Amino acid sequence: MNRKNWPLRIFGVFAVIFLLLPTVIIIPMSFSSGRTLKFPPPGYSIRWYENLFTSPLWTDAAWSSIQIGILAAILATVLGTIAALGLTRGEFPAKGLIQAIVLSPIIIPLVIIAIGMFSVFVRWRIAGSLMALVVAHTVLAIPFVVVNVMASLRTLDRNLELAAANLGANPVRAFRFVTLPLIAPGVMAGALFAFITSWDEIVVAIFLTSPTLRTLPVVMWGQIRTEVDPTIAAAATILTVITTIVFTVTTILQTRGNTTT
Amino acid sequence: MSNSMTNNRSSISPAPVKIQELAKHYGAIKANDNVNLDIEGGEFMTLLGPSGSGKTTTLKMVAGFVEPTSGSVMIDNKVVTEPPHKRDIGMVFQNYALFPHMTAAQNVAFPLRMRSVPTQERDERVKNALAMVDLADRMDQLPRQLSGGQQQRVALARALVFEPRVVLMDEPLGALDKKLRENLQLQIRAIQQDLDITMIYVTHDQEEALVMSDRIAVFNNGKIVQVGTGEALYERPETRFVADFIGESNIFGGRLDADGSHLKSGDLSLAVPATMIASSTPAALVVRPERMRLNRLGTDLQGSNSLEAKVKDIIYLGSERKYELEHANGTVLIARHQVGRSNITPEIGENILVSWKIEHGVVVTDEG
Repeated sequence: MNRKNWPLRIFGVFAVIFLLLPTVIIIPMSFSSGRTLKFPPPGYSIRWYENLFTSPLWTDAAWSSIQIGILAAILATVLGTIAALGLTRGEFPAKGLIQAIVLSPIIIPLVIIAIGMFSVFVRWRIAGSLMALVVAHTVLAIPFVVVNVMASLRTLDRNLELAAANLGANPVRAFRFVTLPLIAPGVMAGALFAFITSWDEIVVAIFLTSPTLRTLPVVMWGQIRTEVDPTIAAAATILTVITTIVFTVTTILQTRGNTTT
Repeated sequence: MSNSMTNNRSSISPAPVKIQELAKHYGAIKANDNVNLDIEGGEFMTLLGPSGSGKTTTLKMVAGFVEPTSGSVMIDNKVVTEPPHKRDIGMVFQNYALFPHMTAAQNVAFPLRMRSVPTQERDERVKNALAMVDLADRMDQLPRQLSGGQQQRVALARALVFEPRVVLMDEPLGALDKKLRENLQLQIRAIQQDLDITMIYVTHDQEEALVMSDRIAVFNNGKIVQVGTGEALYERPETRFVADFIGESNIFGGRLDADGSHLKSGDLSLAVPATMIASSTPAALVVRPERMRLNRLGTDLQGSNSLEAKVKDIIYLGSERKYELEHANGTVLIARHQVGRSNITPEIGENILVSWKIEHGVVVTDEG
């Protein structure tokens, strides 16, 4: 980069600060020794992390979030991969429309999805259950799996699947031994995106959680409105760290996938 | 080269393939239309034609990748309708289609794994198959670590290792350089004869077809226009297309006169050998360049057609010379002579008499 670009550089630095600051500022606040959420903190301690890891309110919520996230990720990955296969390989009428419907949760406002699901799940008497949240988050996560897997499938040489069939592999074994290993980076990236979608999600979760089943973001939201103590900053930090790790892994997987296939 | 494999399959006789009225239409486009072809067991049959002529579509219907609109494929006297994975046909793809995440040995082992061949026998056969294509020392390398020619040979070993009834090849040498291609042509031909396999081979390279095949089926516009040995196709083409596609030709388009003894082509009237082609239909006279004789002006030529022409260009090709000649009416003719074996050696710009014996001309239909 040459000297002429210094205004662009400064702009870039400010843009990064603007994007990162709200997230980063939480981290020192979570190590505060004070009783309230304040920046800069009056002193440093790890008491709020101790509280986070010992208080049942937080540990239960974290456990729920992990369970829901993993189950939703598994379901979304299986269903999304199947959908991506059909949308890439299949020949059927209204394919474009069906693809749009599968991907629609990305575009439709979450509140609308939440209201719709809430009314249906109340009718079915499953609102507030783990299953309801898993189903809801699966729906929200499927598009991310579909997009990732379709991208992998498009770069896959169709002849490899024909060769597998020619050599005696039935469709299931051709998928198992040839297609799946080759699209694995895309499938893994989709699964991680799916987990994060559920892990971070709050709008639908607010509608579908109950006093006995709450996810981490829902508890944070509740806490911030009632008692603002730095535990929430500790929880936010943990949430951010896990999300960052998952995204880093995803990015590594995607770049590796792009160079090897 | 391949003793153990030959022994393994000594009891199996190669399967004949019969293609009957096979057609594939995509809407109004006829990729294949009424294709009929009898391939004997152990025969090397090449499907030859320009791109888009339907040869690959026919191959894909034999493999089961494309569902025919009508017609049937019989292997070993039984109509095949099974999905591809149950057909027991080996295939080598244009881009090899090796599984990039498997080593050479794992690629070759794949068809045996799918057939639940016991591990020990499997390892043995994989080793033999790779030895057959001289790649025993590359077993544990991934396809991307191998050269194009090596990848092609792994694909060949993979298509042969499970002793399929028929082997299909879709322009397998297209991506390789000339020298390697010629080498592999001979190697594939040798293996095919050694193992006594029925082979259906697709190419658009007429030289490759001539080198490798027992017989060649020439495709044009989705149909087979002529089937025969390389020599038959070269010496006795039936249509202008075949004459033009296989080898170099001097072609005079026109019509036969009423008694069928002469062909009128523009202002020329050329004597032709006896032909079955009806006198009023469009026809063409084909003369191969090596049949063309060059003579001094004024030479008396009995039993030959002769035209006065000017030598436009002489191209030296090592073993032979190629002469480009132009008749006064603008017709360009080509003659080829082995160096040292022409009766005269004219200079560029010289006027000469070009001639050919009447029986060296072939009358063909001017269509298809």
